[in-house]
Amino acid sequence: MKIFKWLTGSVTGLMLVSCVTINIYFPAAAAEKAADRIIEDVWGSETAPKESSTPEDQSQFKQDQQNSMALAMLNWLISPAAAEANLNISSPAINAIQAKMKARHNSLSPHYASGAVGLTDKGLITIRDAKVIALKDRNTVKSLVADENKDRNALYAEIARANGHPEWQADIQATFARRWISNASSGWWYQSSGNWQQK
Amino acid sequence: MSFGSDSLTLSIGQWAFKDIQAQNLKFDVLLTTQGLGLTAKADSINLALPIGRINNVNLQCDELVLLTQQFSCNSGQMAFQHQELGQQNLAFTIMGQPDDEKYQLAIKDLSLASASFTVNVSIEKNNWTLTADTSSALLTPLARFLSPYLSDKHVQLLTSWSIDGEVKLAVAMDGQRADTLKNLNLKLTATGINLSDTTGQYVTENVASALLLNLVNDNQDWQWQTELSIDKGQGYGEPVFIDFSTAPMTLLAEGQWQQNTGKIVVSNATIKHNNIAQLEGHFSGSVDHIEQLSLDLKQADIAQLYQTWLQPFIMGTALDNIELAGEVDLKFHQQADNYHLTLGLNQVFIDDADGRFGVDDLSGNVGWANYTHPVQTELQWKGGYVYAIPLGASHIKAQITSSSLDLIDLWRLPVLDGELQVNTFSLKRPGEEGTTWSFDGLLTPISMESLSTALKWPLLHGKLSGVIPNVSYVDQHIQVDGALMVKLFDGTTVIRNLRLDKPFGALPQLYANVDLLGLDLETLTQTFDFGKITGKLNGKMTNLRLSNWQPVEFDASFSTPEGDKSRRRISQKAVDNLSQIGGGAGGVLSRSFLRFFEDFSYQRLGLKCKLTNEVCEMSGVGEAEQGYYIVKGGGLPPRINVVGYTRRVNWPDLIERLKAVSKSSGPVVK
Repeated sequence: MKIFKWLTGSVTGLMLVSCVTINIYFPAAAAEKAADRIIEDVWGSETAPKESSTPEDQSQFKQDQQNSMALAMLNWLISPAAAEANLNISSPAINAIQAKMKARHNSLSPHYASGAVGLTDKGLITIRDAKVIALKDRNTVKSLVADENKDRNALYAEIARANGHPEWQADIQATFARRWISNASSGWWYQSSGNWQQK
Repeated sequence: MSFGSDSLTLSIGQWAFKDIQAQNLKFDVLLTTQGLGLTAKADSINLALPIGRINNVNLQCDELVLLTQQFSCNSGQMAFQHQELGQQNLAFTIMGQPDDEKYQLAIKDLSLASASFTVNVSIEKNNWTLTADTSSALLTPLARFLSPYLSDKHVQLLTSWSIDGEVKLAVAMDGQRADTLKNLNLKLTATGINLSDTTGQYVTENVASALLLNLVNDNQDWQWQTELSIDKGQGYGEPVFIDFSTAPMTLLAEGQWQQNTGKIVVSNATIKHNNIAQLEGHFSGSVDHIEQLSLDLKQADIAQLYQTWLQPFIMGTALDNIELAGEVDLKFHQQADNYHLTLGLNQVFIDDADGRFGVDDLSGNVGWANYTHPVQTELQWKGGYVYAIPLGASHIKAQITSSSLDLIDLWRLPVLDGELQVNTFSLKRPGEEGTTWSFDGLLTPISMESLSTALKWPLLHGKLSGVIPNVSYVDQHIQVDGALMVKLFDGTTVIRNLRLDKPFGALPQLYANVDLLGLDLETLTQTFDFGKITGKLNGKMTNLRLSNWQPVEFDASFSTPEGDKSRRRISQKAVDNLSQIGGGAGGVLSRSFLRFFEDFSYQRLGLKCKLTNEVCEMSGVGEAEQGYYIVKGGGLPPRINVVGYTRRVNWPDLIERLKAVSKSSGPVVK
């Protein structure tokens, strides 16, 4: 019976260990920093001076920190290897895609300013008001938007993959979505819970 | 009632006749030199719909002729106020022969929608004709004017558009009784047309067009003919943009419309878009159902066609940015939901703007059918490329039926100096999404000399070949089953589990596992000018991932095979290079007494690198004090150990070091 108890205890302990080590938290703060670095590079200096996160962001961030603190403690106790989770955003693939986006930004920038193109809450861009684009330019802008979204989706996926966590793609995309909007110049349009708002 | 000397005045408070009612009607009849003069006034007259009530009516006729069989008024004037028509001051001429039921009415200056119309009506018994024309009418007020006469659905449609422009209009109609139109002839020229729906999906800017429409009603069976030309301005109908000023468009069409059944037949339609495209078509069906449709696109320049008519529809795909030359034609036939088509290509050149793929001098037919009708596809081309790999001339023959394509003959595609032989190829495209294909075949030896040259790698010797049991494409993923074999450096490299994700996407991903067996180090080190090493090398690279064709992840290990019997020597230069790669200082040997030996014997050598996140975690063939052995000495002296101390190496730095190594002339032996 004693042996049985001991066994159950050990198995539970083992299960706890395996459970915790698998759950590597998403490094929210590192992701924000990484996103900001890429955004600053792609958009250049013309964009708004960096805003402090909105109260909502901060609370989210705080919670993440608390979670990460707790998890870090656990990880430190149980498996140091899993505790550290950083976000790397430099690889030939990421650099290549970032360069493409940067080059494209010159063509897209006037359309952000005119309100023709807006930032979605999914970290992508979309044609918000086609009417302000001259007829002859509409398909060009549509193609710029399609290419940009292709690159953005590839970028989010690649950051997740490059960091060994393809499952982080959605979190990375959500982080970028917040940071693109936060870094946007005044006058640009962005989506907030489905509605368009102007910065 | 009162009588003057030469006039008669008649005042009626209220008067009604059939559908007509008048309030405070007052007649003045005058005797003039021409005959009778009539002035009539009424506060209001209610007429039959659609005119309804008119107010402040003033009618004057200076030449009124009243005979037993005929009445006429040659120069009449009439003024009235109407809710929709506004204030009207018209000139009219009327002639009537009531016994023969013959009437003629001509109206000038009828003001409709801020435009002045001339209207002629003649009625003879049950037959009537009507002509109306205006030299200039503005579309905005015209649309407003028409609104009350349209159904709610049409009004809604009309009010959701912004409409602006000017038209010149002439219409001639005839018919029987009040409700039957027999013939209609409409001639309309429009200028400065600016139309836009609320979302901006359909827009015209400053368009000028001319429209002719001819309708004949044969017992609710309408025969129609139309001719439309647009030769100025710009138009956008998502996603197509047309600049009519540089490329005018014309449409000629004729057909029938059965009013009772709603059946529409377009027996002959020709759309000509300048010299870009000419499309001929036939159609039968209804507004929401295709019974039969045939389209015939006459031979057209593919570059121009692509720019205006194809590219907008395929935006976001791999084909949305290509350069084209050549000619193309298309025949499309649809019956209910079944269709088949044949696309003809004549000396077509395709070049991807990003240099990812291209085809030279492509000719033949591409067919497609979504039902059991068989269509042939036969294509030949003189060359092409995928990324840096050139492809040779080839031809392909396939049969299509029910949305799937199957190869008829063996397809040989020359790749560099080898050949890809495709035994079976099968493609299915059940709908817009969900294209899948698979093939099996053989890669006959491609020399590594040609491959490495094409890829701008250091010159490699050997052969690449393989049996490809199955390659499948599903949801933008290409999976290669089986193994590709590369004969390289006198050994064998086997590539397994090769997988490609979005090969033409923003970031193509390649996954594979690679095994290297019995590579000859002497050949290898000579190729890369690394410094001579002799012996054999085995290796394994698992979870290899290339992103955008650059390695970003792998778990690799290379080492001397167990029980290797070959002569194992390593040169000074190689030792130096290896220690540099392991993070040590270069030129150590040349500063010690060991510089007097040209090479050293070794027992084992090897390197492991686990690449993730730009960092290569390195280890060697065994643990040493504070480090790991890259080369472990053995055999006859002099022996040498190379020990690496850096466990984590920055991958770009490592690549830089490797590049530097292959360029450097090696340590100087003094």
